[in-house]
Amino acid sequence: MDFDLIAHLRQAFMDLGEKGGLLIADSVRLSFGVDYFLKKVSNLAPMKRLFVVDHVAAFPYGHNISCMNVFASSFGRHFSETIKLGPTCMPEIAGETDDIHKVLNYPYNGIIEAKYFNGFFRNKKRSIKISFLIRKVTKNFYSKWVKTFDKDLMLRQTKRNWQKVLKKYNIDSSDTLFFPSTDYYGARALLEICNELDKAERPKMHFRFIGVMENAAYGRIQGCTPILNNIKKLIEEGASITISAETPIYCSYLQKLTHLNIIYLAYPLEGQLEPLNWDIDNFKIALPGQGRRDKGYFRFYDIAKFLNRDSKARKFKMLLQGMKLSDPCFNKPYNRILAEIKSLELLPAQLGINALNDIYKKSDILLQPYCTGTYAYRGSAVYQEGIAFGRLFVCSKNTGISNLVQRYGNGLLADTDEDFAKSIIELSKLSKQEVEKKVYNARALYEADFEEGKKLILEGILNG
Amino acid sequence: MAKIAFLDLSFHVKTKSTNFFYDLLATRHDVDTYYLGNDAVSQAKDIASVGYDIIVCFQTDNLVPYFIATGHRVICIPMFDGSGSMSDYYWKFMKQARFVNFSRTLHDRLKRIGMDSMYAQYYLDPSRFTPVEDYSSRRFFFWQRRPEHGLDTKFASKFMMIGDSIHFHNAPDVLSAGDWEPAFGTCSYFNEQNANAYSEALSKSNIFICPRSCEGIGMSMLEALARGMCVIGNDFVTANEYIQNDVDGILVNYADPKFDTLTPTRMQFLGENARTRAIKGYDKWLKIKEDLLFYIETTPRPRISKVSAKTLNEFLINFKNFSDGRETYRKNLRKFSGLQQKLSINDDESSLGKINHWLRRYWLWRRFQSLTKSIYRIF
Repeated sequence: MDFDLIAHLRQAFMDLGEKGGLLIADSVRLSFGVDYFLKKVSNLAPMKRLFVVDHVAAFPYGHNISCMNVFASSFGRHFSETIKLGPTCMPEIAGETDDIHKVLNYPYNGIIEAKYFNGFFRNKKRSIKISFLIRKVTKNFYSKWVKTFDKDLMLRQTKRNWQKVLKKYNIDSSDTLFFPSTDYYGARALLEICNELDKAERPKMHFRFIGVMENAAYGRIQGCTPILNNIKKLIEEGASITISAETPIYCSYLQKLTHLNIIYLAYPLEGQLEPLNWDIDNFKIALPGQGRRDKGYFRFYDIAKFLNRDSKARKFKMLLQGMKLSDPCFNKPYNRILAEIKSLELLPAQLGINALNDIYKKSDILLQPYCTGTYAYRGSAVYQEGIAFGRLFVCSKNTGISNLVQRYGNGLLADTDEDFAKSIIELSKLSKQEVEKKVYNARALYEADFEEGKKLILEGILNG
Repeated sequence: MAKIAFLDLSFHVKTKSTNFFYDLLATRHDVDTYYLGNDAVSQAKDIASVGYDIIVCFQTDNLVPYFIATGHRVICIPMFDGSGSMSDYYWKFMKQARFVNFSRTLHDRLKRIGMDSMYAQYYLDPSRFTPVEDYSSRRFFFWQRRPEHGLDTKFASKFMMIGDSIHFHNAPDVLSAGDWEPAFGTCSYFNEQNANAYSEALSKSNIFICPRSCEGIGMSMLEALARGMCVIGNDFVTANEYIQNDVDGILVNYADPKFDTLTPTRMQFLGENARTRAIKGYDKWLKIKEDLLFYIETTPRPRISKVSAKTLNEFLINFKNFSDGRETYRKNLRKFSGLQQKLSINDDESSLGKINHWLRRYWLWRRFQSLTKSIYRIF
């Protein structure tokens, strides 16, 4: 199959989508020749084991654990065996963490303390304070150490841990280590160990950058440059390493930094599109995800205000997840003001997967008034879930997510709070059929992008 | 639809200058208006017992702490001319209320001390008024409203140096009109039978001298702006917030007014700009009305620990002393520092901060704090 032809076909389908033509996911995938290629790969593959690695999967909430599982199941079928490696402090979640080997250390207690610290006391407030204290002490200790002795103790600890893991699983050049969300200490420690190993002993590696924990280090702010430098050095020495990023804009950013080929790898979607409510008299707008300042929690009042002003006869109901009590920005008076907005339902800060899925099912439009600083290159799990469920978005301009919204055409971009309100009203004027067509096309394109990225990564691993 | 109590001063029954706010509230809510007279204490108690969703205190900000203490959601609309000189201590009793300010100066000040305030500039509908067309002669209009403050015929005569004619509207707010009869110019009076006397006289003039040196909103000035008159005001709140000197009006110092000659071209320039400002301002007001309603509707419920009935009663009695002068009033307020702490409770404050707040009541602790601060500064 000629891959130039695939790109050409893709463009043709994109154009068709923009003109209102309906895309069918399967036909797109077949046209791209991805399935054909993957079948070919699985027939030829001599690949032994796939290790899906995540040092940060230490929380019952968030997406790290589910991310490990979906990437393992998606990529695992091309390997003879799949092993998932998680941190020792990972919580037990039935059906989610059963087959994860808890062998890795958790290096980020000074940044986000792992859940087990909260279990010391029954009193919730006291446990929050204790975990806050532990976080402060850990952070200060490791940071001061780096600043004083110019040596990273946590990196040394993680390297030791990696050496044990490599030995325990007899990992060699036929194995592949896959980081679905790269973190600083996990990736850097492994790369430094690989640097010391012989070429024959070096495992194949894939790093997926999502712009979150790859920048988290104690002491000095250095970004992910040390990881990228190590990767470059190893690639020059002939190691088999592929890199991908969560958003196209992050791909181009990393490409500028490294001059390497960075693959855009979307998130493997599960389940089917949820039927759309789209009740003109009762629109539901949601801002899923724990309330945080950089997620636009404090912008919500003004958005609601402008929506109230401009919506005229249309009625909007809003669903908003609250802020954690331990959040440094937590503001009780603001919460009391939000409680007085009649059309707003304020939900708890941390919700289980089922409750979160309910929000997606109930809502018609999802809001992402995210901070352009934090989310300049990043994508978001909310976006992935929203696209899986088939919902429209209104999100901030100049973020990694806005780049995705433009690419898949499933929403509008806004800048100011007033723009957000206007965009919501504009989207609400669309007919149900139009929306269904938009979300269907978006999902089909997103899935096709994932398959394309997957193909390139497998190709890289196979050729490496 | 919320049930709202709209508290206003009885003086406004005559001027009807607060009706615009009542009308705004009434578009969406069930509003009861109370004009507070001399028996304000008992009225406040009665109103608190009715069970209103929101209480709007228009220029009755001294009652706001009482309603917060009784657990009501309160909107306070202070006027700069009435409360602009009150201390921060006074405002801190109202930390859990929401403010709507028609004066930028007061709004900024309240924001600086941590109050939740929204600023709005009110304008009258210019389409209701015929704009001035004749700027050939200088026809002054002066409402003798506060002659006891020196704004009398003698004051107006200073402007006559550059004027051709002057009309006095002799209707003082407090004093008798008979004691302040103008010795020159034409004159009209407040007349309940002929409510249009003021408007008729105003429409014949083209230069308006603001009747007060300090305004809450300045309805008469707004009317003059809407008519496209050349407005002369004191360089103080709120005239200096509505007028940009030499662009859409003239700002002078009322204590010692100095001004240049008014040529017909300049008068026309100022008058037309004033009318344009009024048109744009009114459009802005129409837009902000919805935001204002949303702001009022989302007033949070106060969080306070229980206040004894005795303290509240004492506070209300102290409210009576307001008429004895501001200094006495301020002194009396100091007696209620405990109540203030309860009312201005800061949710964001840490436990240590709360202990410190409580300890600051004691002189010895304050001395100790200032001593440690000065030692810290030295080293």
